[in-house]
Amino acid sequence: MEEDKQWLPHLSSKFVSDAHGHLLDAYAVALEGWRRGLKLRWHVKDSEKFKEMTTWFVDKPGQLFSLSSADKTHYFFRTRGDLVTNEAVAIGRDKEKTKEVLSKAGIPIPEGKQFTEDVADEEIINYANALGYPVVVKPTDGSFGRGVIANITSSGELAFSLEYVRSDLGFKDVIVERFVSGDDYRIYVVDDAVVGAIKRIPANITGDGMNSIKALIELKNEERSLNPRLVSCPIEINQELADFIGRKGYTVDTVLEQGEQLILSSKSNISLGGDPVDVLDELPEQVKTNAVNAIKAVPGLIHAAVDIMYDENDSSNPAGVVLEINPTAQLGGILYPVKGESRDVPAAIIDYYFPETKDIIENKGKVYFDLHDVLDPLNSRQAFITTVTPPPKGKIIAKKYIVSGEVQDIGYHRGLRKQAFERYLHGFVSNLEDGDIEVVVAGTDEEMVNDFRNALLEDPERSHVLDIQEEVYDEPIKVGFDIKADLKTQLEEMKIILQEMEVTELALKKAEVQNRKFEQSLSWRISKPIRVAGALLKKIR
Amino acid sequence: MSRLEKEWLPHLEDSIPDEVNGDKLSMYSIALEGWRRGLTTKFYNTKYGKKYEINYSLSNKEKELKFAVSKGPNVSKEAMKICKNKVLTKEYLSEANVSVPKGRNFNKNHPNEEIIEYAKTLGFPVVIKPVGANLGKGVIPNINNIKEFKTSLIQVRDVLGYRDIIVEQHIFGEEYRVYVVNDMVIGAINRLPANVIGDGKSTINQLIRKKNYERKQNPNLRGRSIKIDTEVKKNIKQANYTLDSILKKDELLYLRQNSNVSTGGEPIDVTGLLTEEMKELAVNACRAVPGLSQAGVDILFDINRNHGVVIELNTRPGIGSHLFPVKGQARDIPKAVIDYYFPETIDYDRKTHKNKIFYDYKAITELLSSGIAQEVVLPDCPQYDMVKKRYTVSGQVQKVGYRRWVQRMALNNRLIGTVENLDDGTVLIHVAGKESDIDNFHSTLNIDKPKRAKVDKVVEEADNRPISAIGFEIITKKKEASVSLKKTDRKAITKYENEIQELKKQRREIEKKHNNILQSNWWKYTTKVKQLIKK
Repeated sequence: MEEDKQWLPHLSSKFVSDAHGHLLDAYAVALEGWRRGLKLRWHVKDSEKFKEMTTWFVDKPGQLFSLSSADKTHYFFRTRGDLVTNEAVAIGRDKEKTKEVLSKAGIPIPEGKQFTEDVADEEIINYANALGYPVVVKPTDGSFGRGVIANITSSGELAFSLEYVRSDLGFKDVIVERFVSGDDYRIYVVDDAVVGAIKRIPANITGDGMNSIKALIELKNEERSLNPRLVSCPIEINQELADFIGRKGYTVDTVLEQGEQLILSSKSNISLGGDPVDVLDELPEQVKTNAVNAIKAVPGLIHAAVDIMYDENDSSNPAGVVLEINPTAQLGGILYPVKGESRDVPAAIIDYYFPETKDIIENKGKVYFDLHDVLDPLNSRQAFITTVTPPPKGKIIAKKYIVSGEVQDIGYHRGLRKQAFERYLHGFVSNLEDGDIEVVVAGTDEEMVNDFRNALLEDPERSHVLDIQEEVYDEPIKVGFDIKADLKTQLEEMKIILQEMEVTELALKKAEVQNRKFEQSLSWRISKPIRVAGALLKKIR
Repeated sequence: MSRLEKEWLPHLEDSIPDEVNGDKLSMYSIALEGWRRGLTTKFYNTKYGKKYEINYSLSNKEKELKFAVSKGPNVSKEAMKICKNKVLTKEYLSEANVSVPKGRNFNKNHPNEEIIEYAKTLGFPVVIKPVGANLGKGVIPNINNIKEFKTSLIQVRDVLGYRDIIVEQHIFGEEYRVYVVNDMVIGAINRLPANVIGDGKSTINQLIRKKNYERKQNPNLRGRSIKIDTEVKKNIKQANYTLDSILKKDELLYLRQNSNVSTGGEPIDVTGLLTEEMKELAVNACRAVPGLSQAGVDILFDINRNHGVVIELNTRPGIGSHLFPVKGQARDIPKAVIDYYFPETIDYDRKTHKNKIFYDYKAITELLSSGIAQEVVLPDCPQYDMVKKRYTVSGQVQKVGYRRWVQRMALNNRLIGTVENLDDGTVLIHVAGKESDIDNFHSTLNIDKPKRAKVDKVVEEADNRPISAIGFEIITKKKEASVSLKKTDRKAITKYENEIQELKKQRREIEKKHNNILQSNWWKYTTKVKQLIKK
């Protein structure tokens, strides 16, 4: 059932397993440019043109890179290139400004108003009364759905919501808008074409008649952990969630019936557990046009994501309502939808910046590079810029050798790396359980690749080779030559395993505690639903 | 002992990381000089001949200049071609009236007999040199008669396989390597062949070992020990000794004929001893080749006759021997090279050298030689006097992400240094940078911390450790890093994997039990209550 999705083979999880969060977006775009033969450099902040570009949270390298052809260089912050002006970025970051610009261009936006700190709640409520319910309250400078309260249906509820957002959360400046019903779409536009579109469905689970809501969420999170985009966004079980399902009379311990779908949040943000579903093919043309027009309305904006609320039953807004424009959008949802086809937005972006490389598809799914190795010296500031070794040009010839004898000396392996380096070959050497080693070399010069067999025999001081078996190798190639059995790799492997163990242990403990609760406190169990209901009644008033 | 009288460059002596030795010294130290003067420094992989190697470039706002070993961009391709070929070199030198040893070149088609006839006309002693071979490989000097000549010829052409050779007069005199930049002699060394000097107690074998230990203390010589091979054994035998013979006190025994540093030769600085004629010879040799603006000129000079010849011109000479001679004064070749290519930086304030800061050669070259990166650009070298401080932080500061947090804070404040966990549970921080930045960092340590840490006390002290590499490094404990490799670890990993499987199984069982309760009557009852409330 879950297999009705189709991801891009050249961006499969194998290639992006190292790139999480914002690194994923940057890596996907950088990889596309690099595979087309553009020179890819990773930068620390304030290097070269990044001094002038608007960026944020870039202390950690991996988000700033540049791509160069023989005659030009473009700089990128995550998915946004330097052809998008700082002014356009400023408009996208300021919701009020966005609306002003869009409204001037005749793009449908939700009616609403921004209120600063000095405006009293009463005045805001009066405004909302005039505007008409339902409304939505959101912080002026919030993100990731923090402090957004949707579908407020009465002045009482609004008063409560304002109190919560302005006092409890501390977002003094808020926007009150007419609440637009419908589904939440994110549409990626490059120039005047829609290149990707997803619908974002709020965090949800489907019952199996056996598991509790909590267990279903855990299962869902396990599934999410296999998705490069969703791995960093598990559904969190917190008070907000408890409140939300509480309104329907559920607790996290409720067992859902077989096939019963339960929505867990009013917010569809992927970072809050939402599901991205590809809708590019079925999205009505007028909605797409709306998105393109929205981008065109902002001067200096070449490519960006447009968030649109669209309800096919709402005839007053046949093209949807534009909520937000994001010039520095994440692409993960479009690249790794839970359903549908993934759309190659990175390719569309590179097409725009380097149209002359459009037709280069050679070796696309066959080569990649290790992001962390390239970023390492930037992380410790031992270097300011690193340039990734270009991918091999032309047909890649790869060979795998199984070498037996006394061949596991690390010095021998370092020697092999030197031999590979001098011959400009890629690949790795890896220890096998039985004392043999596996050596893979790949390159475009067949003579060099074949000659490497001799290199295996050239170090009698540190190795004693008894036998060499040759096999074909057709897995993707990581540039460079990796010594996989070295200390670093082994320690890393160990660390990952230990982490996994800690997580499992924690989950185990939680499960035990949960169990004990059930066994010990039956009366508590009976009274709980009543308590929840009481709390709810209080709230409704 | 007088043999150890030497004076190295104070701004280099403590700035050579362990990984930098031998050949690497040239690239490392010239790049360091440029970097310290504020030039942008880049290392990159490039093709040299058929093979890939690491080169570097230095740039200011106007220009980027590319270097290989100690060679800069003003050495023309043509000059490289000429110097690589000994025959061509001789032609150019003779043309310019620079004296060279008489001799002739033979290719693979010449039969040995013809060569032997030629040697007779030349007069002994003669030397045989392979064409295009490096580092003195296959060179057989001081051949005194026909018989010796025949054996040597077979050795070079048939055993070693160098078919193209040069046969030359063997000129007596001392051999000098003279480093010339832009028509100026910057340094000169004389190399002694591998040798030992007796102490009246130790065997030759022990003396060689002692010598090799001494060589390890010299950045230029470490990794270039004297190997006891056929040639060494032959020389010992010729002196009527064995490896176990004890040499008399102060008795000098040469172990080889050739004086190549890579096989045990000892460089001695002789710049101060050069006569005007010698300098002229070296400079004229460079002038004779078009586009040879810098080179290592090998000359043979007979001081008594005040006459010498040029043997070879090296376009990519290593400079380690000039920087770290076994005896004599080190010569600052990096300074001369950078002065020449970036004359506007000549006045650069050498006082900032007192920071003695250097870059992390290992991190850079590891990444390049693993083939993952093609180019790496260094951060700019800080151009101000640095303050150094150390902090000891106690509390719950280990295994809570404290080191990573410290790294971030230090980098935010543009500081360089290190952070490490100590065995007593504290964290030790070394930082260097601008005073105001250090103050900022200090107050951050006092008032802030990562979520899971608990800081009891931050103690500040002055730090007199030399500042090492640039960047801010988290030092992982030696214990962590030196875990013995391979099989033991693999076993450990398998063990952990099994443990995880076991834990997962337990977890599944508990969850199952959990579900059973959920389906019990009690649960169904409460569900009904819930539904009632819902209505």
